[in-house]
Amino acid sequence: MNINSKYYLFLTGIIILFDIALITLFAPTEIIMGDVQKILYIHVPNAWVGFLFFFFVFIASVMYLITKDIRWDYFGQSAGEIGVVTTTIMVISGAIWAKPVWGVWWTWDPKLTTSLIMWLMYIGYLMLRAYSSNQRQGATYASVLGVISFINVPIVYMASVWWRTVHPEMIIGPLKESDAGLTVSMGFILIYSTFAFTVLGIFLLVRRFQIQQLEQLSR
Amino acid sequence: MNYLFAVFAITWVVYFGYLFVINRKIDDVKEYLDIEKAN
Amino acid sequence: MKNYFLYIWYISAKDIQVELKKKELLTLTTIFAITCVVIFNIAIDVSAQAYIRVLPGILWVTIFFTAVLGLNRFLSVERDSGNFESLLLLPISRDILFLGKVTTLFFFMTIVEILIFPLFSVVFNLNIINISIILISILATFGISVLGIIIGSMTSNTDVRETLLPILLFPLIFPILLAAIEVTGAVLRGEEWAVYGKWVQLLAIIDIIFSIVCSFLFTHVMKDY
Repeated sequence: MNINSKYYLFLTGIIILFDIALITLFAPTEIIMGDVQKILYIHVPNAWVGFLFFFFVFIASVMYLITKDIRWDYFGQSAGEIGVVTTTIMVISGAIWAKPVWGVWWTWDPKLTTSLIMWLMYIGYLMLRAYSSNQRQGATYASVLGVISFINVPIVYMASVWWRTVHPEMIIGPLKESDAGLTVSMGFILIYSTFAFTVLGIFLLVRRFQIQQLEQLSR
Repeated sequence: MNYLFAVFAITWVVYFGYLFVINRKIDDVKEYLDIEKAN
Repeated sequence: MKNYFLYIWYISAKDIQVELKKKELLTLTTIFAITCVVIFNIAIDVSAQAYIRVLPGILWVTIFFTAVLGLNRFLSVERDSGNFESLLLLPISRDILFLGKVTTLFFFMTIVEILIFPLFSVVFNLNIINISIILISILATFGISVLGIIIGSMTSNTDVRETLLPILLFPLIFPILLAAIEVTGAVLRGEEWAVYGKWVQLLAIIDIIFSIVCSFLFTHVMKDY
């Protein structure tokens, strides 16, 4: 499967374009928030992909430590990079959504807090590999960090939920409102958007992985 | 409406930016292989 | 089984003995902690009534930064003096070595905390010498030691050395800090165990999970030393 063939690029592109069309033309406009609510269709799918790819990093880390096959490290690095891209978009879209809806750019609501911490862990994962002395050491260290970081995610989420239950100064956030008030067509578009971004993520992942392999060959 | 547009813009700039950056690496490798071939 | 803990103690005791003679690390970290207290007090300008709201945060952030400082110093001395290499020659499993280092750091941090907690009580005029706070401090310090040693062992080997440690460590100990801050605050406000007990339980679980996982992972870290 030659990822460089334009076929896959076009396929992914079509899926995404269809998604944009759905969001802008067909998605019902919500009464209270208006068009801004449609940011949901970017924010949630990217959150899902971010979390999925963090799981990929965990799998890659565990498998590298067991098999020592360097290709798992390529997989982990690729998943990590795309995860950073995705989580960045999630955080930024979340902030842009929050501003018109609540009046603030940021709030320490559990999902946002967990994603910010996850973002920091991703970045640390990439940095540790980058600053290691050689490829092998980088792979091992990053894998160790990858395992620890992933285990930390549910713990961070639980702690954030308790934190906000104790100090409920902020409203629980648009995510909760949006989950509750979804109509059938909104739900469908949301699912399709999630599918579209997952396809995009996988496409980038495979491409990045193959570029990694090429890069290493040329060393 | 502006907010939605901003999110779309940022999303696609970031994704395309990433795609662009990683494609540049292919060019680096191609260059390197061409030099290798020439030798 | 008894040997397991005995070996851990041997490794730790040697480090502690050396340090108690020189007192270099303890002095540096304690003075740093005092400096932090002063800086925070200048930075956060509140009236005495508000002390109760800021003390938990200032306390635990101070301890976090002090831990990072202590870790960096401890590990760079280990590396430069070749201590790690000689320990690797011993026929003991890597998790014993790991827990030995963790015990050493835990011991050092506890000494610093014993010196710093009364200082906090005095400066903020609030009594934090309390059984629940002591309990949460023990758990939190242990958690920070476990994560600090494994992450620090890796970062001290990289090109950028010490600068990477706080970046990597903070997201990982975020829940630990949060738990410690919440419990300290709750106790100061006079709340009951029923309210804050869950944080203590969470910390205990975190400690158990991470000490087991990191002990296993340390073997891989040491392979590439």
